[in-house]
Amino acid sequence: MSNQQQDLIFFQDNSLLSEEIITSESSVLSVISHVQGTSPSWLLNSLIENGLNGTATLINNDLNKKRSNRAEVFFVSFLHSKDFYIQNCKKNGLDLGHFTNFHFIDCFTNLFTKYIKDFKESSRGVSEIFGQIEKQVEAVGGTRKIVFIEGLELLLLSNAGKANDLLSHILKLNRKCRHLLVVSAQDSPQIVKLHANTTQDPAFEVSDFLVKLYHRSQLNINLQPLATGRANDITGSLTISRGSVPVESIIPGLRVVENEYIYHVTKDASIKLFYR
Amino acid sequence: MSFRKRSEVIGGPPGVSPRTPAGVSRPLRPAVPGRGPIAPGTVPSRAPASPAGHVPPQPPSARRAQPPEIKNPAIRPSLITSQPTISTGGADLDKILLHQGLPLGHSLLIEESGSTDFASVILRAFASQAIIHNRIDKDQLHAHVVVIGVNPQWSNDLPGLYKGSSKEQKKAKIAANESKISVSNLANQSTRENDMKIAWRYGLKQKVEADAANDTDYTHQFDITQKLVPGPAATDISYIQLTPDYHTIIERLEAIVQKYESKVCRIVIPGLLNPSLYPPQCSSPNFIIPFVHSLRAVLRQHPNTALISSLPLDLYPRDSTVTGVLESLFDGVLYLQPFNQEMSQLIEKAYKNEPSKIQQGLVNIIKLPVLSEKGLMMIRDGEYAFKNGRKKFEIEEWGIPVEDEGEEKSTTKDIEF
Repeated sequence: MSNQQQDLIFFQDNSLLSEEIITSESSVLSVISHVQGTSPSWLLNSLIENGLNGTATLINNDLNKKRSNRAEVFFVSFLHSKDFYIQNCKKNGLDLGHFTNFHFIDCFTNLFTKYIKDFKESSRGVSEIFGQIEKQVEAVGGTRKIVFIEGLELLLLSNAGKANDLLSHILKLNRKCRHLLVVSAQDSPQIVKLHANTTQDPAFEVSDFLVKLYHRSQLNINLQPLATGRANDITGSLTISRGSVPVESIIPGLRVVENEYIYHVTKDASIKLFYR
Repeated sequence: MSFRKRSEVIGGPPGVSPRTPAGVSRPLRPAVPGRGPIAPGTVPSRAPASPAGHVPPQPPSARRAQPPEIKNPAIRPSLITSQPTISTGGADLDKILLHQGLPLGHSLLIEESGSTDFASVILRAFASQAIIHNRIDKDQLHAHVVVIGVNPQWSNDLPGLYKGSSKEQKKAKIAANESKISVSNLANQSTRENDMKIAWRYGLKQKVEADAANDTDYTHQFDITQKLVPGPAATDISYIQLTPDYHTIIERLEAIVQKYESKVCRIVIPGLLNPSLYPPQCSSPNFIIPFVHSLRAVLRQHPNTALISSLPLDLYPRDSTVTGVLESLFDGVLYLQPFNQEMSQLIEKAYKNEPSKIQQGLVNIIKLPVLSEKGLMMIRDGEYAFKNGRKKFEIEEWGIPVEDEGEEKSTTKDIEF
């Protein structure tokens, strides 16, 4: 383990959300997975900042050149309200309420009281939700678009949607933006059961969805606690790996830098990353 | 040389001058501007006086423009995030949640394995705390409890306030007798008042007492052997019965929360998914996940609410999908793990001379409100233990007790060096 604090990068051009992806005509898919105890909200805040400004003050000191309106950032959440991100991004020096290029699509507040009321027609509800998301993404002009989507597994766990339907919606949405980041819990065996035999088990659907998603992704980021147990000065480990479809095959010259970091998030929201 | 009290106005009571002969009116303008006698009803100001030496009276509207100070003894800022926080009804539980309570708009799930029901002690104390807050001020209600899924008899077993040990109760009785009006008490009282005269003059005593009263109002100690007397009134508590359609429950909850918008609404869901309360279809993912997700949405929309619930882990183990989803939807999760028989016996043996030290199980922290969602690793397994006594539900740091191998025998042989 190195003692020197490191900057987090995903691609070989020392970037997080690469400019080459945003300016390209291709669509990149990334998966951010986490488990109980390693919530990725600190990472998402920094990625939002990177998408909006080009900076990442808390996790990468080299990315310090501010570019206003770098990209249109859409955040779709099935788990949190907009206030949660407005509050948490303050530590990154962002007031999301004032950014015209930040668009929060709230799928949390009325998910099961308005969109999916009747589970017999839940697939129609899911289609409606994705229809609205796509409409909002399309309504904003330009092509420099980054979309985050969080908590999709809830639709599968509540039997509101099927893995294949959701996957088809996700890929449709991916085509409408340059970079789509899917954030999902991956606790095993509670949420992901790779050896689930019965299709009636909601965990089967989630496993099916994630496995298929991993077969389509270009970048995978995984956050998990230390296998050795809790430590006072380490929160967990962050692994960056290439997806099944290499990013260089769709954007020549760009490459994912595979790395494993250990990180520490403190109560005052400062983040330290070290190579493992 | 004579001494005067600081508060006493020089020249006697306002409006009457001892140096002015009777019948001669004294001009109100003082020799030094701002140093004159204060007219009754005006507020002394440190602002520079007007050229004429006359301070224009403030219009009443200007005084009213200041926002009224909203005081709810049930709410305090979180020690970590400064968010409004309420007490759970247990000082130790408040402490391990790190916020000194449960932040408003957030939820706490108490999981429990085994056939015990320690979680209900926590839930009942949470409800009792609200009712005690309502009894602080005579004409003002500070909180409201909403209980989902049980019948109104549930509130019959709410714990009453802990009145102290028998020794403390005797002391309190003596104090009560002393406070009664009698000749001997009045004689004693005058001597005590003289002792505090200086402090009283500077208003220090009153301030200290007010602060102490505010501190004690936030959280109380409950005695599970005592019942809350008188029981909760209709304005203190509401019940929502279970229906197979979760929309109805959520609609009723929202109606109650909106009705008591200016108060703290404590939502209690005892024995979530317990088959004796919940019909079988409720454990289906079509019911429980949308239900808890909608509860989470209600909590976020109404920042005057907080939720606590208990889940029997023997029916829904931690590695099951339902529990996994519930853990991800609740903001805080604690797991009460009672000791097995062997461990209980070992602890009883180790503390046979100090039965008050015997713990009943472990408190494992799985998630803490706000902090876990920010990405902090808050999982603490086997670091805390609980003991449920008459006095309170105590949570302390856990350490494996050392078993003494009988009494140490004194050395009989002389040791030669």
